[in-house]
Amino acid sequence: MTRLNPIIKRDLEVRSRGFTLPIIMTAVNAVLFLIGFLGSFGVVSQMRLSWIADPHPMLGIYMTVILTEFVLILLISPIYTASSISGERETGTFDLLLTTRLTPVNIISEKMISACVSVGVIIVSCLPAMLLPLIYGGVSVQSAIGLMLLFIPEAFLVLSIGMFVSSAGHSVVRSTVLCYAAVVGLITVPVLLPVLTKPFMLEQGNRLSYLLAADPLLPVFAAVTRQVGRPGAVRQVLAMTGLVPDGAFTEHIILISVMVQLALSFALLLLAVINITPGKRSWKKYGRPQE
Amino acid sequence: MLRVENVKKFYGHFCALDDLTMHISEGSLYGFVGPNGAGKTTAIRIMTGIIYPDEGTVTVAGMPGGYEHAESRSMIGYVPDAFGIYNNLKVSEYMEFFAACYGLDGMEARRRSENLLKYVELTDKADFYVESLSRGMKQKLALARALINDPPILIMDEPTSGLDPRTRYEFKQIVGELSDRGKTIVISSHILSDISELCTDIGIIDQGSIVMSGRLMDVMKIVTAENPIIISMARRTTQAIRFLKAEKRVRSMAIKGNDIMINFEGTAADEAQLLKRMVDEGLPVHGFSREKGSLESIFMQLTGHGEEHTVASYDASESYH
Repeated sequence: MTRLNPIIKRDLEVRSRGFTLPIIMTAVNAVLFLIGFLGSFGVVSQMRLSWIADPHPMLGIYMTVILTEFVLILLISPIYTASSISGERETGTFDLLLTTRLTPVNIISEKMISACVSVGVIIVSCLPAMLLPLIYGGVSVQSAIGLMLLFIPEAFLVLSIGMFVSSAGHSVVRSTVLCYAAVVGLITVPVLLPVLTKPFMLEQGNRLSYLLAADPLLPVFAAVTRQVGRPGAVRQVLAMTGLVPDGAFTEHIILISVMVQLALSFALLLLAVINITPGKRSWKKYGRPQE
Repeated sequence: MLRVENVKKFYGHFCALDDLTMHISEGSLYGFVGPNGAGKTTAIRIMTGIIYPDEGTVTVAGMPGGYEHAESRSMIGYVPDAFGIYNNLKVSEYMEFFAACYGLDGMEARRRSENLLKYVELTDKADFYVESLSRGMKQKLALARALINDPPILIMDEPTSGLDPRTRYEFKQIVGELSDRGKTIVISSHILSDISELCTDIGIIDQGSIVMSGRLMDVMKIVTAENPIIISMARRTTQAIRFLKAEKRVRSMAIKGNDIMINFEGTAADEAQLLKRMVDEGLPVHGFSREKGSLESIFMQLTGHGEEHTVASYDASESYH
């Protein structure tokens, strides 16, 4: 039988006892069901008045639910990793882990797995709320589940950012704030930078728009707009940022974006491993005199 | 067993350890003392492999120390000055978690955990959350945790600070027992009475370097040999002072009531001769003994950077003849 690694076991045990996960799941589901119910109620009322059964407004609600859920997942994920290493440093347990047989790769990977499990549980728990607006059809359940799976690499990126920031810090508060700043930066900078530089780069097309591939919102936005029958939405966003739409880029934008983000995630995790390995962090002296 | 050779460690421009060399022999109970900021914790973290020295080497039982050598790393049990406690785990879970971190699992982890909790008298707290334990209990738990993989070397950073006298006593008993079982133990502490009670060897660190080290008994002998002789007179103190002033080997003198404290240069035989001459002179000597050396006095002398030397020689200058 496969042995459960100690950090994963401990984290899951502790989380299963706490109220944080149930509270988060309840809150996220409450928000999504509220959007879904209110939207559906409005659309059904409209149908009753007009005597026209049009499923398209329901798809709009579906899109809203998906994007809301995704933003909530991006906001929740840092909770699970931003304090993981810095928290251990604050309590003095990190030094103890380093004196055991666990390697930095073990520590980072096990903490990531336990965080992924927790975030994964939240994502899966939202499935009913996600499917509620599809009561009149429009998107198959398989497609909706496929979209839900797309949340995983995006959440993984945010968790990796949290892990990296945490590995570099000694304070939970500081690393949490820095992690949120980094996530907000990752979402906004790839959009804002090309938009702001657009007037200077119109002739050859704004190459900075390719930065959008690193934006966690982009693949989800691209997937959900395709599902609801608005495939041109991504092209419009790219055009807005000044990029002359490239057929291959826009066609494979989800795959490209996921690959870029996974590469970024693993790079951050590698840096996190380097950060916590004694003697490996040559760019900054590790540790402080404590006496 | 544990050798630290010419270790240097810098934090920016600040030199935390300056050519630190320590040799800790197998089975010894080594007291590692020094003032705040002397580099004790840094030295301990380097010994345990948590941080790397900028220069120098650490050898554990003949093997290179340091983080990448898992074999030597697992030979050291470490009790940090911060407890290193996960509050949201139960005591037994905490122990089993660290057992699993050392590759022990299942029944073996449970067996060791139970034995160690019994050893530190925490069996009845096994199902309590760690956060509910008192400071003393947490420290005992930290000690039990450090022993989970049965390491031959135990390094403890300020283990008795902040403990009440009873817990301190119990803790010292446990440490003494562990030493009797053959473990090599390094204790860093500010509580010099604990060190002088417990330890067989001592190293005094100041400004990142060892300023004195060796067997505690030998160190104490040196201290005692340099201490003044206290001569208690039943009466005729003035005549005794006059007599001692004439003695060439008496370097300085201080008087407190009927007690005369002299700094005397000479061997034990010379001391005996002095006493004999005083008695022959008809001086009623009531007591004649060399003041006992204390670890505190030598600590003050060695780590005071000059300013405490006057104090350590206890006002000899006031009555120097």
